[in-house]
Amino acid sequence: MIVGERKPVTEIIDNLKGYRKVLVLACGTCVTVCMSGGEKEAQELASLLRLKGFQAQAQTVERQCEKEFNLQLQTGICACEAVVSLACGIGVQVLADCFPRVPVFPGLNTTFMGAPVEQGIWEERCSGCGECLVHLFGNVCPITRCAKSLLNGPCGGSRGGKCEVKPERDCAWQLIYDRMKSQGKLESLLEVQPPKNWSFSRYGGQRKMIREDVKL
Amino acid sequence: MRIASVGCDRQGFPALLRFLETFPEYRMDVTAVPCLGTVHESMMLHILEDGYQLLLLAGCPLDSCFNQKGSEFAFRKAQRVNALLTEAGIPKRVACAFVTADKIGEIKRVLESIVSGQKGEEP
Amino acid sequence: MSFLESVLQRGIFAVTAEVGPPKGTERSVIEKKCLQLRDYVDAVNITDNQTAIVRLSSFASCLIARECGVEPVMQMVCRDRNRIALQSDFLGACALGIENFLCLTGDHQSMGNHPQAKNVFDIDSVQLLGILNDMKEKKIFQCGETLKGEVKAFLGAGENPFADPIEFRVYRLAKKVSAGARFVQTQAVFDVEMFARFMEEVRKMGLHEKTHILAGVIPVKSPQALRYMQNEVPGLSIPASLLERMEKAPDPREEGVQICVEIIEKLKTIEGVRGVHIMAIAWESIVPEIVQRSNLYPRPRKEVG
Repeated sequence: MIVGERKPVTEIIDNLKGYRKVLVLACGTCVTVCMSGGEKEAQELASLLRLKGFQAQAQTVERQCEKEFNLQLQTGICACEAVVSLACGIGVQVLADCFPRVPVFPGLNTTFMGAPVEQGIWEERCSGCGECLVHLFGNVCPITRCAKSLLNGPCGGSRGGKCEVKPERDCAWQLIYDRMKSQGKLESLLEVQPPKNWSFSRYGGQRKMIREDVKL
Repeated sequence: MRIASVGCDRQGFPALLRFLETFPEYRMDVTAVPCLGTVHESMMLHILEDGYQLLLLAGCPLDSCFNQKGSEFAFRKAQRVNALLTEAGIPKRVACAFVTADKIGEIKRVLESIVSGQKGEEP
Repeated sequence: MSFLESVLQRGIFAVTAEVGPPKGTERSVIEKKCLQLRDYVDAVNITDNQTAIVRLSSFASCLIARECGVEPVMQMVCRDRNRIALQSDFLGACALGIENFLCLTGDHQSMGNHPQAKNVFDIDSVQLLGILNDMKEKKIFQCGETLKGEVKAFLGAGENPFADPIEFRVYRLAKKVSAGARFVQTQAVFDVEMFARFMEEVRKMGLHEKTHILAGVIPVKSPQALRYMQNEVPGLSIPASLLERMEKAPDPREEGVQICVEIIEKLKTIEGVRGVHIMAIAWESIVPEIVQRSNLYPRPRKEVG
């Protein structure tokens, strides 16, 4: 899932200067699961905005990243002067594409693709490199979970299973080593992994996927 | 200061009524709920939107909540709401008083500490 | 063949040291340190924006070092440059007569003075070794195209035998050797017994015959410095007895030098250790004394011309 964190309320309020009628739009998918931008959070933010003197309303759509769900808002959107979208950066942009004349402000800082580790803790797991090779590393992604994205790790800064860059973070290569050892596959770690082909990743430019077989 | 209060049927609400009888100089609009655990953040904020400066939640003591965790959940939700209010620079607060129907002193202590400018939401 | 390589090939116990360039343009800082070290070491490593702190570049500093008559080892980290820039810098260095290269991963930028920078890490140190080795041995770039001209390079890597997972370290060294590392400089040794056990594993894999291993040492001036390293630097294994010696010493500086010399003497006796790499951080001036007291002076002379 995509994880984001609510922007500081003061920043949201600053962005809304000059507007009175505000719609706080929640998204019912990823950001609901990470408790940053769901219906509950939208209602709370709308209350805070009303306490600050805005005429604020809260609404939710299933997913802001899909036009069909946003277009249901036609009447609601027309009644407001600005929207605070609590969706991830994708939803904010798709919403703005649906209603290009309405000022849309992001209410979240979208951060990563990750998963809940336990209640209240989410961690990054995937960088979208476009060429998934996690099976070579005991299903622990070194691109994402190693601070230096090493494919032939670890570096000299692994200590007690923790990363020297972020000491509260596990060293990905310790995890990879432990997992491969438990699977009896340590020998494959002796192979020198060649340089990564980054052209499939974000570094190769914005990605697009086309499925001719399902296009109308 | 306009004060609203919400108390649980078990201990909180009876305690609030007794408090208001004993200390008539205090004025509060009082509501009953089955358990403090049912009071969500949105409800707390809606009450404050109605012009109150303070919302007082009165419930069973933390270790003897009739529904086990109701008071604890209410306390944590109140903390979250207070964090949002502080972040937004809104001078309103939610306070908690964990009482029994016959030990109402805690309500007075919490209210006094808020009136005198301190944060009184610690149980 | 570089002078460092020739010393090692001749079986002479090599001595290298390290110089950190200045946070500015004063080349005199490098010149002064190099002149202090010149007659006491076989080559001097020039660090590459170490700890992610911006300093005069390793490449430029190596040229300044050469002008002072010191043979440089150009350190190259993977943090700041992609494979295009690294290969290009390597060509430039070779063209200007730099012959020793140490391939490192590099400290993360969050540790330095520009933590907001975007890092690169297009490749890692093992891959960098492979690329430079192919440029040297096969005269090809990473993309497979041929390159023109001579490539004379003695390629090396760093290794930390004391970091976790400790059982894996000798295998990582093996990977670097198979990628092309012909010399290795290790993280500083304080626990000689622990290092000796590592070297036993190294010998079992025959790695000591495929690469020249130089053991790192760091002379310390004070017990605080030793404690700082123990707490802050991953993988430095410091025996309690050394801490105690430094704490009790009436003259900590002298004790620090004495400890360093003792470690070097023990390292000389370990089979497979071909030299020592003295990392006298902010204390380069002590290197001549250490080299002399370790009976490693005079150094072999460079041929002129």
